Amino acid sequence: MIAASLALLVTTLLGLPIVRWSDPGAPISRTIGAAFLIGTGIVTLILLSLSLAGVAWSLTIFFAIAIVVEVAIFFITKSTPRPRPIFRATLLLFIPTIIILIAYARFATAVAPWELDFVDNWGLKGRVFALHGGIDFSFLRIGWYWWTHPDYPPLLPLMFDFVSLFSGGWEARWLGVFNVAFAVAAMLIVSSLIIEELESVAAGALAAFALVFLIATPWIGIADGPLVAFLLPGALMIRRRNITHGALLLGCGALCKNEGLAFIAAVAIGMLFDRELRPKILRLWPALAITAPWLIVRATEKLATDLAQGSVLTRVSEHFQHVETYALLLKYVGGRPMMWIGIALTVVVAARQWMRERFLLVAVLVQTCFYLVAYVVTPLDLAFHIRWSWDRLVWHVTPLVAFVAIVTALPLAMRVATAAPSGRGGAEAPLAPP
Amino acid sequence: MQWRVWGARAAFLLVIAGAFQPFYLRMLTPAHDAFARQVANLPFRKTPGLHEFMEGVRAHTAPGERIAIAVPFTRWDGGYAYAYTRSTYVLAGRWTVPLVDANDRPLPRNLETADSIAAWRVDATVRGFVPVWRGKDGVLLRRQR
Repeated sequence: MIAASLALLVTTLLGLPIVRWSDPGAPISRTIGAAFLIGTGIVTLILLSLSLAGVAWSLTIFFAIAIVVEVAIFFITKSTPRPRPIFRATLLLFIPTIIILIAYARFATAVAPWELDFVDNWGLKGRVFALHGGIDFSFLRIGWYWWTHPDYPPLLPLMFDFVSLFSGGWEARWLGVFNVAFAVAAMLIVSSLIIEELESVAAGALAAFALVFLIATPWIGIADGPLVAFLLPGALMIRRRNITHGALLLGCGALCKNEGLAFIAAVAIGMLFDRELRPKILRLWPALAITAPWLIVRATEKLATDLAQGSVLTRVSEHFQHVETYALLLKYVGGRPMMWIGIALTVVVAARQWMRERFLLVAVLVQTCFYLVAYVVTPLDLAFHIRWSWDRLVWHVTPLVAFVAIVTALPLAMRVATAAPSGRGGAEAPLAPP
Repeated sequence: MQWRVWGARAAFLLVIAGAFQPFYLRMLTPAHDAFARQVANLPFRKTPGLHEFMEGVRAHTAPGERIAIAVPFTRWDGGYAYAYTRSTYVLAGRWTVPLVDANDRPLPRNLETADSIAAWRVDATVRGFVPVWRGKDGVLLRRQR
């Protein structure tokens, strides 16, 4: 536990200078949340660089490089304003959400991560790399282990390895704490954004309570939870017109899962549908710059991507011969019918506000289309693939849809409490992002 | 437009109620310990004894050793993948050699590349290999030099 705590602390400290520059003047809570998320990207890129240089991992070498990196970032980003403090009274309203997060922490750290995908993918790679003292490319290349998905981005296994650097060896017992840290980080960012947008701490607290169950994912030790923690705040920062900060988060998300890479494209397409964001689309470049090193490694090491292997057209043809299998998409969509009814109801009562959320909605739609295409070209048994992944994929974008529902419905729902002469939080107020 | 206000309130309540996951709250009760016991060995649930046996194999083999995984399943999706992937996690740092491929074809030639065989609940007589350690459910064989 001490090793995991130290890893979380150092990761957050590493991300602080960049976040103070990329999201200047943010409240301290949002700064800390984003610092952890971007810190994981820094840790990943440092450990990846060491492996590519053939240097065995050690804390001494890591810190030597980290100090150089941080000093460089400090000089590039100096003279940024201090984060704003948060009021203690704010915390009281968040107590229900904090209780859920404490319960989630008990859940996630009950034992070592127990998901199959931890044992045969994320945790296995972490353990192999930790014992190797660096990324073991021969392990990724050997055909025997195709089922570990060698092409998957390395952020999560490398974060596990970062803990092992502090503990002196592989110890999986407390690795579930990463799920908690990612969820808390995302909650800190999203709550702050909602409070600022709706100009109401109470609205922020209510929204946080609704979103915490979607951000605290139940799959412990695998990358879906961390991915949600990158995608949601990343897209929301771009919606807020802080494109550089959003792109940094999305880039780290692409280091976390291939779906994160797809989401960069989905966000870019979403930006095309927003008049203000459209001219700024090239400012997404930091997202690609962050993920480029891994993409280059993946190409040069010829790490197999199962979706692109063999004859794609043959597989498409085979799947379409059993088109009824796609009905499983409805069966395994992940439940929560009451929440979806509520979301649909917000469309009815706040249709105009939903129309203003074109950027997010198009991004979600495009991402969902990417997922559906994956099921068209999958080399796996279609029913098996849908059964064991669709609910997780839907979960990636669900918080974004829920966010739109919440920010469109809450001002209306709290009309008596928040209606102001300016109309900013009122029922008829436009909800264009700040 | 009063109906929209009440509609928004109803919608928000539905979103919260629909998203609410009461299971997490049980983690603040004594049910947490029962849950922890339930999931502690979940990845190995269908192969009782395999985890302990492979831990024994790990203790009796060296990093870098090539260990063929012999289990009583002959089909990839019929149990071999289950045992092989989990054994690979326990034996991380060693090379686990598969004896069945994803198309259920046996891979006997892979034995030629193996230094050892971790034989779990199967007949452990293989020419050229001798037993070096016996666990409760299996035996570790090493190539005779």
